[in-house]
Amino acid sequence: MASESSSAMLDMTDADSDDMDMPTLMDDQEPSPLIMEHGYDIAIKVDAPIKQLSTLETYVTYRVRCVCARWPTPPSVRRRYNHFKVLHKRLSAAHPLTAAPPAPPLHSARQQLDRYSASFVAIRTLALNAFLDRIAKHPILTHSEDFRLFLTTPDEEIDKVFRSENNALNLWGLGSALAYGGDGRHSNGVRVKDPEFSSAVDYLNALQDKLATLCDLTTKLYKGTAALAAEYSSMQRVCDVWSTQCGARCGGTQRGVRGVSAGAGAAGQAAGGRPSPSHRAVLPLLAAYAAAQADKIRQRDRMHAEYVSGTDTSDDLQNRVEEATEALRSELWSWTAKTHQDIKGVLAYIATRQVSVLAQSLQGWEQALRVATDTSVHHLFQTVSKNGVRNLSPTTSAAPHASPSASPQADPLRPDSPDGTDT
Amino acid sequence: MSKDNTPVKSPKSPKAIKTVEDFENQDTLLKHVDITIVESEKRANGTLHVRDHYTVYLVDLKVTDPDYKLVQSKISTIWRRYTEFEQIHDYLQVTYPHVVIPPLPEKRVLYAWRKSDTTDPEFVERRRAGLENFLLRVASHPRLCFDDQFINFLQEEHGWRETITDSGYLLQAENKIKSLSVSIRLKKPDPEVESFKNYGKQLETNLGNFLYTRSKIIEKNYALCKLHANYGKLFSEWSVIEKEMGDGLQKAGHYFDSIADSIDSVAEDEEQLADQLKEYLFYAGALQQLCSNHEALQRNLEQAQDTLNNRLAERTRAAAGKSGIMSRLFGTTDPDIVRDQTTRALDAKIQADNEAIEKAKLDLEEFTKKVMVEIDHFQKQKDKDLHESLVNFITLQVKAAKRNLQAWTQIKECLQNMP
Repeated sequence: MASESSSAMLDMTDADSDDMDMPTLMDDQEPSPLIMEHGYDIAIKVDAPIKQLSTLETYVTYRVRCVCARWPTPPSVRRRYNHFKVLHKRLSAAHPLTAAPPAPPLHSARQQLDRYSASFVAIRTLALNAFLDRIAKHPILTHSEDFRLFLTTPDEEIDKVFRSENNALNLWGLGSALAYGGDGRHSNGVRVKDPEFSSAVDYLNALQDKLATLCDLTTKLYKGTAALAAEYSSMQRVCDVWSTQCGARCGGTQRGVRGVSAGAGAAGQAAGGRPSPSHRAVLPLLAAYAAAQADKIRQRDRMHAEYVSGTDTSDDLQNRVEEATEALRSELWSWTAKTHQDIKGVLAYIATRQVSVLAQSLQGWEQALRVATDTSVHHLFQTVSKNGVRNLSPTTSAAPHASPSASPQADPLRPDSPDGTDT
Repeated sequence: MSKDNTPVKSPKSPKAIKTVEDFENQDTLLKHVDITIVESEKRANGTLHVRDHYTVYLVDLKVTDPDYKLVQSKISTIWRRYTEFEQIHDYLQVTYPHVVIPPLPEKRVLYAWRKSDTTDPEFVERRRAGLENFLLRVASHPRLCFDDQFINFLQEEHGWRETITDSGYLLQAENKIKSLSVSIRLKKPDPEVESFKNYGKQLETNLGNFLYTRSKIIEKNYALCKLHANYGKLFSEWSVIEKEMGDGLQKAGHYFDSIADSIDSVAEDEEQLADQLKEYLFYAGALQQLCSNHEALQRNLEQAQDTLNNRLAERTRAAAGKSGIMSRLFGTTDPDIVRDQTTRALDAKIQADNEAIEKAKLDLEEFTKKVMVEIDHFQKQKDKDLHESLVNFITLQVKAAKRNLQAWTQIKECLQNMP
């Protein structure tokens, strides 16, 4: 696929990212199958980013896979970020009354320096996936021709079909605003506030706030967990050193130290796993989406205000107000439900991860307690080794009935053999 | 202490102690009395300056054994401040060089992971517990518990300071410090004592490292758990604007809050365990001190032997009549009588030296014997205590992990059950 230019697989394990370690997102040879969710005739997945090095520029392409009942689809296509951007622009231009899901934001000034870093690309991949998923599940946008073209055009032709009109206005996202012509003017006359929509605006604004905070907190939570993991492993090291230096008369101490070492090691390992940064991709997207919806509501309010103020009382304007109202009404209801599903998905992931981290570390500490308190381990080990020796020596091998009962008791909890300091 | 109440010393003299078992079966003060530090109180020196504030601790002594005559009264309470504890500790250290003196609790917070100072009520409470522990350790130590000064410390509010200063321990201490400040290079260090010394050093570094990483961990963990409070706030605020999801969010918020709240008690419990480990950190210092004391005696012995050897050499030279530079330059010049006199004088000195060596040897032997028992006892007690502390540490971690896991499982359920 898409290998006309020399391509280099992004090394996702390269973990010197600015803030967090990212899980690996490799272009696995056997991609997971796409399964349509109940009630949808389309399923989409964006993954496997590849860094493309052409003579002129370096960019990242993402693999887009899609199965759809409505049209035939190639197994996968490769798209770069600009194509997604154009898709978004075209969708919002073609459907002025509905808010298209916002494309993931451009990199920030800081990220500009490091656009190909593993963490940035990983988050963008997830965000693009969420973006396309949202379009696919949108009742109107999913039937858009631009969307179909985006998914089905072969890689070689995509640049022709999806040429970005590279002028400054588009770059700043003003293209869609201009599509409405006069609507952009602020009317100084009557202000209309439909109670139905004004409460929705309030909700959307509050939701944006919550989503941003949630994203923030979760990033902090993961970072804190990772930092804690590092401390746990340093405690394990300290305890290991201590346990090797324990003298002959410190059996109890040694057991205790070994226990702490085991527990800290397990806790460190449990907390050290790399979480998926999905929250950082999905939550800002949802927040931006909420902002886009709020914008649409404001647009409708402006139109309504214009109508009420009576400067333009043509039937056309009334129709447009009615249309916008209807579109918003139907849109908001399903939007809220879908957004809640997305949020729930993110929250469920966070909770599941926390539960698994804590369960693992609990298990580790419980095992540590066993290591620290079990006095019989040493004796057990001694009998086992004695039997082992006896079995090995040719003189006693003639007595097979003597030992098999004791030998399988080698303690699984203690892979390290006690060096006889307790004797 | 009045004369008719002369201490009824335990029947066994301390010298009879040969083994650890004997040592542990000794009569101790703690078998006859109960010692507690009941409360602490802040006091000021009259001025309003912060530095003139200090804390006093109420030492409470109850005699449980009705026949016991060593103490003045059956029940006594007495206010003592930390510096006085330091005095008695220093006194014991100087007076009993062959004992691993139980250490005092930390003067300033070591391995602190959050801001706290010596007036912090939590710190005062931990110090109270630490001081009580110190008294109990001394009172249960067979060689320390019947010390007059110690008993006075427990009972005599006034005048105690004077007697302990009179006992001249400060002067002794100065001498000690002088002798120790010379870096000691022994010819034949006792390998066993040497190993104890190294062991003390190792224990100190290991405990230090452990405490350091522990403080790092609890610091991070504390911040992490407190982060859950932010989640709790977010969720309960969020629940207000949601209709269907509101319930689940609110419930989850409560569980988040419970995680944030539970860390406080964990941190407090862990701090107590850290104090127990810190005690051994200081014990390790005391053990090294003991080894240094042994080294000082050994040094005395070696010095005595050196003098003897020098004298012997001198005597042989004198016997050959080759004393003094003149003789070496011009051959034998001393008349026989002179030679005789010098050798006799030297013989007397040698005799004295031999005696000195004998004494030093005896001292050292006595000391070594005592020390071995002492260290044996210390090792046993240390092993038990450290094991217990570490096991408690692990148990605490298990408990904390269990509680957090429970809360998160509940959160997960709440979130999943949202419509």
